[in-house]
Amino acid sequence: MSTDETIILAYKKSGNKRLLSPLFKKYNDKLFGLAYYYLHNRESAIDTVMEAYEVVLKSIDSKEITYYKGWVQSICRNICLKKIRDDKKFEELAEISDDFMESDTDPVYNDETIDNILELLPQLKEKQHVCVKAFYLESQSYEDIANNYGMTFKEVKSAIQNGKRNLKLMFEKKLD
Amino acid sequence: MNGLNKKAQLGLDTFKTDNGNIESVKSSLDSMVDDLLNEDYIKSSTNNKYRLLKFSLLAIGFIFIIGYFWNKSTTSTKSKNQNKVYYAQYFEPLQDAISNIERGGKQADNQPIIDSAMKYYNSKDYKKSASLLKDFDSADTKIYYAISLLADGNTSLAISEFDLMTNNIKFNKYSDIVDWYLTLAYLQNSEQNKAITLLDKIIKNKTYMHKEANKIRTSLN
Repeated sequence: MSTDETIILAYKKSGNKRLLSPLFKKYNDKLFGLAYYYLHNRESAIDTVMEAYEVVLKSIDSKEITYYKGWVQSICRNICLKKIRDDKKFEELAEISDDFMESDTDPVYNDETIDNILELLPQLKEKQHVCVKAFYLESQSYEDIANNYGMTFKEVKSAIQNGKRNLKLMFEKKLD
Repeated sequence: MNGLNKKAQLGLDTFKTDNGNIESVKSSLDSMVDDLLNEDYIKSSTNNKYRLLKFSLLAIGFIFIIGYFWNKSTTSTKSKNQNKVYYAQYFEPLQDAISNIERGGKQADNQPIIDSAMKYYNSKDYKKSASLLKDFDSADTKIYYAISLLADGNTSLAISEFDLMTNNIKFNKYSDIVDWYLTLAYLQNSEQNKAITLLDKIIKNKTYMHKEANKIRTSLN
């Protein structure tokens, strides 16, 4: 049994949640990194890590945990994916996927689509990558992007359109 | 490195590329974790406090209920004791009116036994007087027999004898006396309601011992 699971066992015996402190702190940076990978926003990533800990606290008593690190990372990832799905901007980006369908209630695209898009993003040309990421993931306006990256409004618009088209091509190529 | 670890590392690398300070993030998260667990601990302590409060309220409720029944029981005991006090205060044996009477016929044969019984009665040996008077069924002997039972502490049997006399015209000449002694018997037996009914009757009709009956009735209000 690893140290992580020993800490969980000690907590379950005593009921003192403060015993979990070293366990949570041990993976703070990894969970933050994971959340940042999906959300591209420092504050959102920090919030997500804390939300993941709240889920852990709610379920730790009733769940038998054999591999804490994997479990907490899955929780964190699921929270990120939910946030992305709730994000209307990302919904526009997900339209590049063949899986994407408009429905009466929610857009239909799976978690794999999100992962694929995020994996392909860094493969775009730098300007396109920066602009697509800023526009779709960070919800910045054209004007903000232009001001933040020293570009014109037209350049930003063009980079986003080209980036989205290239992303779609890469997406189709990957699936083939 | 599995997929999630790889993504976590990529996320951290991206964050660093974006000029993010990971030490500052770690410090913020450490502090927030402490707050979360501390807050949770406080919530847990608060829950314990509520549990303690709930338990205390239940305990107080339980004590209150026990107290209520104990008080009721004590009050009842006090009431019972008070009834016995009335009996002790007001019981006087009926004056002997049947000893040494010259009788004729069959009754003359029984007179020595009756005299002997009444000797015991007058010397307050009620067990023996009751024993000797037991087999006589005349009104004159029956009243002393029942009183002997009452005085001897055989209250239930005394009540049944008084009841018998109340319902039989043969004992009519002692009915007022029977009412009084039956009242005392009821008080001794903690049958207060029956005693009150008889007391009211005695007071209303101003019969035997009605003044004493009035005093007891006033006390019982």
